[in-house]
Order: sequence, then structure tokens, then C-alpha cells
Amino acid sequence: MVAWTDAERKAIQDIWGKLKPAAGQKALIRCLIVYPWTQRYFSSFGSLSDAAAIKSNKKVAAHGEVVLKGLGLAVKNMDNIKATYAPLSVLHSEKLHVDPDNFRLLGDCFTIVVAAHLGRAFTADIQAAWQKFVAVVIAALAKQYH
Amino acid sequence: MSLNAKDKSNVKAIFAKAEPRAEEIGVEVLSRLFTVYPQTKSYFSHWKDFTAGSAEVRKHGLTVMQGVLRAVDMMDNLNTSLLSLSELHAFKLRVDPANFKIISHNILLVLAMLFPDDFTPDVHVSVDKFLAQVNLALSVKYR
Repeated sequence: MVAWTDAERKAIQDIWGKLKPAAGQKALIRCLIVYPWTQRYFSSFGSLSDAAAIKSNKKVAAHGEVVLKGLGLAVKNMDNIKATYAPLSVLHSEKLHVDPDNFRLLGDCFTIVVAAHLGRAFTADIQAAWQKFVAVVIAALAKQYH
Repeated sequence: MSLNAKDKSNVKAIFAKAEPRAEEIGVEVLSRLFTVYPQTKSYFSHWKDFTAGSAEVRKHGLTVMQGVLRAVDMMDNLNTSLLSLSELHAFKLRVDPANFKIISHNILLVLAMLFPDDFTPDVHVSVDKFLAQVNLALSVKYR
């Protein structure tokens, strides 16, 4: 089980409260542009041919919301992320066949989106808490791979 | 993953904005390094004060960012122009190259924080590619 300090819990809940609904979309768009090989998992999404196409793609926007809801599950179950994510981990491994290294890439994009949104309010301590949270989420998503 | 003309102009543009705030950015980058990745402090065991306002952090933050800005100017010729810096990191400082990725992530993050409207996904990918090339050039003399 992961040990969270009170300060870390507060940091995560505060960030979550401040995140706009479009954050998932923004993170996913950034991931698809900055790490274009991640597009391999979205061949059914239509045109991802350039940055403009990615930014205006409705399926990308919708999927960004799905990802954000998934992250919300972890925020609401911080003491039990591994168990909460077990079915999601199976899904990503057995059905979607996503290389777990991609979780880190999307996680980094989320961090950049959060930093851009919060500006100086994203202090070094808050960044530490957020990155610890993202690392736990990523580990949980990768847990059921075999 | 080479830099095309658009990448080069994106990198030049964002770092032109960053240049007047080089020390501020360097201090933010180092503070995050030391707080979020405390193992990086092991390279600075001779320092007395790791807090953001300390003379050591400010001086070193500026040094690092001046190095990055020099690399921006020498973008077309990184391996040659960063040779002496590579020798420094390889033979004297012996910084594990894994840390280059860590500092790059934090440079990207601070740019996003301070210039959110300028640090679009297109600029992000250009700067990421550029920093990866800087890291490679810094690693040239390691072995």
C-alpha cells in the first residue's frame, strides 16, 4: 500500500479540483503530437495526420474525457489504486495491447498540462506529490500485465 | 529524430523569450530537481544550501540555463560545440546520463509553467527533440 502524507493528499485533491474537464483532451492531444508513435493505438479515430487534425479530432476529445474519468477513479481511491485499477490494467494489457511505457509518456503530458494550468501555484512540493501520484497510477495500470 | 526547420524556429522563439529570465528559470528547474528527485542532490554534496533563494542554486541555475542558451545558438553543430562540456560531464562531474532526461523534463515543465500560451504541443515536441539532441551531445565523451 502507498503511504500518502496529509500534504500529498491535499495537493492531489486540490489539483483535481482545479483541473478543467478539457485537461484529459489536452493531455492526450499533447501525447499524440509530442510522441507520435502513440498514434498506433488510435487507428480507428480517423485523421491524425497533423497537429491541426489531432486538435480538432472529436474522437480524441471524447477519449480525453474517458482518460480523465479514469484518473478521477484514482483520485477518489488514493488508498486503493492498485485494486481499483485491476480491471483497467487487464483491459490495457489483454484487449488494447498498450506498451506500458506509453503510460509514462501520457503521464508526463498530463504533468505538463497541469503545470501550464496552475503556473507558479504548481510548486516543487506539489509537483513531487503529483508525480508520485502519477507514478502510482502508472504502476497500477501496468500491474496486471504478464 | 532530427530537427527540421520548424523545430529550429520553435526552439529559437521560445528560448528568446526565456533568455531574459534565465536565472529565474534555472532556479525553478533546480528546485524541482532537488525536491522531486532528491537523489540529484548527491552531485552537490559540497553545497550548503539547496533552497531556491540560495546563492549556490541561483548561480548554478544561471550556469545551466546559459549552457542551454548556448546550445540553442549552436543548434546546427551540437556535437562539436558541446565537446568541452561533454568532457566536463564525462570525466570530471561524471553525472549519470539518466539525469539528463530528468533535467530536460523539468526544463519543459518550467517553460510550460511560465509561458503557457507559447508552449503549445508543437513547440513542446520541438524543444523535447532539441533537448534530446543536447543530451546526446553531452554524452558523446562518456565512453
